[in-house]
Amino acid sequence: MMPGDARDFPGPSADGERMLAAMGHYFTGTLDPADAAFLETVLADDADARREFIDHAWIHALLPATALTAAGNARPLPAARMMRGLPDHGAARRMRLATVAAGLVLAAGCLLAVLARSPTPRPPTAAGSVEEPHYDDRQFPVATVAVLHDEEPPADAAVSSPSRGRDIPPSTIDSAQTGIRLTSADGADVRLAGDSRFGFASAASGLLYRGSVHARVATPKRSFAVVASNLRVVDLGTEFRVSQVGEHDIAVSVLDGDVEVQSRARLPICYWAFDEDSRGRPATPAGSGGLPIELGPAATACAGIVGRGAVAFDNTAGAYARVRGGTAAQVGLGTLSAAEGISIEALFISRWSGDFMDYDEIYRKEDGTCRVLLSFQNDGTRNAPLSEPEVAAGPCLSFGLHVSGRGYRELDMPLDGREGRPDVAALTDGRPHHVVATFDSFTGLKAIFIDGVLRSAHTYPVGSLIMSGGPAPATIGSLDGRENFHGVIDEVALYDFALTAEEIAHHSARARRGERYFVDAALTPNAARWQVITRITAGSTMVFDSRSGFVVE
Amino acid sequence: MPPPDDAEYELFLTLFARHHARVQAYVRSLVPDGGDADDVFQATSLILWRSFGTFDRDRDFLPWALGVARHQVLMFWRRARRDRHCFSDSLLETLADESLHRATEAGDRQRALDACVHDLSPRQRELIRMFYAENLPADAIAAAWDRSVHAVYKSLKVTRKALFDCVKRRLAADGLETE
Repeated sequence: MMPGDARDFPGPSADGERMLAAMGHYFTGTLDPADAAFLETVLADDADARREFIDHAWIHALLPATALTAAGNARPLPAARMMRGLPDHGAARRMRLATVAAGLVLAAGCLLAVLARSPTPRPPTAAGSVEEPHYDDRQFPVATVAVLHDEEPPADAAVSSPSRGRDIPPSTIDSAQTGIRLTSADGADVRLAGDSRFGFASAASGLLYRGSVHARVATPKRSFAVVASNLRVVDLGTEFRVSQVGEHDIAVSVLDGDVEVQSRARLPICYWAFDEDSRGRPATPAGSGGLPIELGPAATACAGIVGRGAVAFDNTAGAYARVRGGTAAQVGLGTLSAAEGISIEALFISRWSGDFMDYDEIYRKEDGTCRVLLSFQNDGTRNAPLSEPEVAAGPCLSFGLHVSGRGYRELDMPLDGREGRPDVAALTDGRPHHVVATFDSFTGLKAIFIDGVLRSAHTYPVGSLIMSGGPAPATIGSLDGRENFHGVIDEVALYDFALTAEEIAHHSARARRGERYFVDAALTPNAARWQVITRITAGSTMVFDSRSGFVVE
Repeated sequence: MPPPDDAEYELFLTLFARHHARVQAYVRSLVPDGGDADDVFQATSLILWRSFGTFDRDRDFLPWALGVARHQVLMFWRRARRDRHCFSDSLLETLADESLHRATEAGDRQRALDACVHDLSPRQRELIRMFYAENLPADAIAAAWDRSVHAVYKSLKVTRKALFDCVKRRLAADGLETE
């Protein structure tokens, strides 16, 4: 029996091709009665056939964890590593780990999250009714991105040498004078120099906020990237060091092999223009994510604020636009997850009432306490503890994120017409408005821009990561049939980094002229989101401006 | 859920963290739909926590947890029989029993699968990513690739077969293949 031969089922009664086809239908939920009967007969009578079937079933069962490897994203640790158990909490710590500790607490809490059901569509609410606010405060499992080793890194330690350690979720790590050693879930050996701050955002990459990081990958087939603001250093099966040498200057030293230095293309993960195709439906979405949209029965195509189409929401339970895909089993994973930064951008014409206990969602992904939301709210003091900074009760535009070390918090911009902020009447005047909500871990700034102008902001410590992504579907204009939007939404864009104030002003100006935020060529699905600046070889050091990507020396 | 006693809570978390991946994969091996498998796993987890007081601390946690999962899987299929095609009770019980052995070697199998996925063609990796990581339905993948749904199902079948062969070869090469 040769590997790859479709007829290698050993059972005397098993037809290999038919067996494979029937199993394929079984795994994809398309099994018909004839196939079911065929499988029943073969499997009941033939132990070898059952063994083959079970082995195929385990491939199917383990692929959700493995599949993320193919995408180059953070992924759950391989099963063997997950099965090693919880860390030794009694081990001495030689480093300052305030934020890591917070992450571990979250991860432990998340283990119990599996005790709760995963998100499922909820029954619709009565049309236009005022309802209780809904916050799903479960904690979902969080991806493990690295092992933090307890011991000091010996000078001659081999890559991934055995060492006790603790699994960590996406976390920001401050090293004390002696430095810290970690192993990424993808096997890269990562060492932080003393007095460094490093955000371990995923199994495949980390963020340098301060100091210096040295990385070495386990095999040439694996990779590890270090991001500093707008710059990314990607190893090509090698050993390298990235150091901050000035406020905005980054030195890249290659110790072995080559690295590629890239600058961010500053394109969205997803961009939904809602322009109609030839059959009158919202066209294929643009942006590198390319995730399709499913419109609810009360969300209808209408004339675009920009371009040919937009979506009208009538404030009823069927008024939603649900994103298909982009989810993952764990927080920190999936196309729609973001760690280092985020931007949510949209054009809207709002008919929100502004009344007490009326909510209108613009965007929401409800992954328990790791939710992301941008919505109009007016719920008095009911959720005041979530507001950061604290604001007076009243109508507001709320931007909610789970910020590491703080938990879920909302930047509630009062719609009171004071200090440059718009009031409800200004945003519900029947005219289009441009909104962008941003968070940037490199500055700690969380902000809301309306019509190209910064209107509200709050600052967190530099290096604060976002906990987002996971199993919940993202929805535009609703929270699964609740809190439905009333009005029109167009040109929704999601980014995994913070747009700058200049970019936002530029996008707003383009929208006012009836143009998309970008030229169309930049929005083809799967467009490269990082552009190569140069390649550096062993023994060389180059210094770059981390914002522009320009070579400094 | 009973209020957690600190020591009990910590012990449960320790054991659950060590073994939950195996239990989850075991469930998924017997309940192919991801959403259904999640539901069964959630129910299993809840029962494990609620009945943790009855767990004999001198025994291994994994066999106990897998036993609970096995029961929940069989319960699920009895309920699901009303609206979908599935196997007889006796066959389901046999498969559930024989799949238990695979749970103990899930780590080796996962490592082999990791390597095998890496060796797939870019197109196959993208298909696996879309279907298993992004949870995109086959019709959405078909639309994105301008192919028929049938072609997507066929590609999934071929890719799974390639992975099956590759994992088998790797486990055999490492002397880990079990009968």
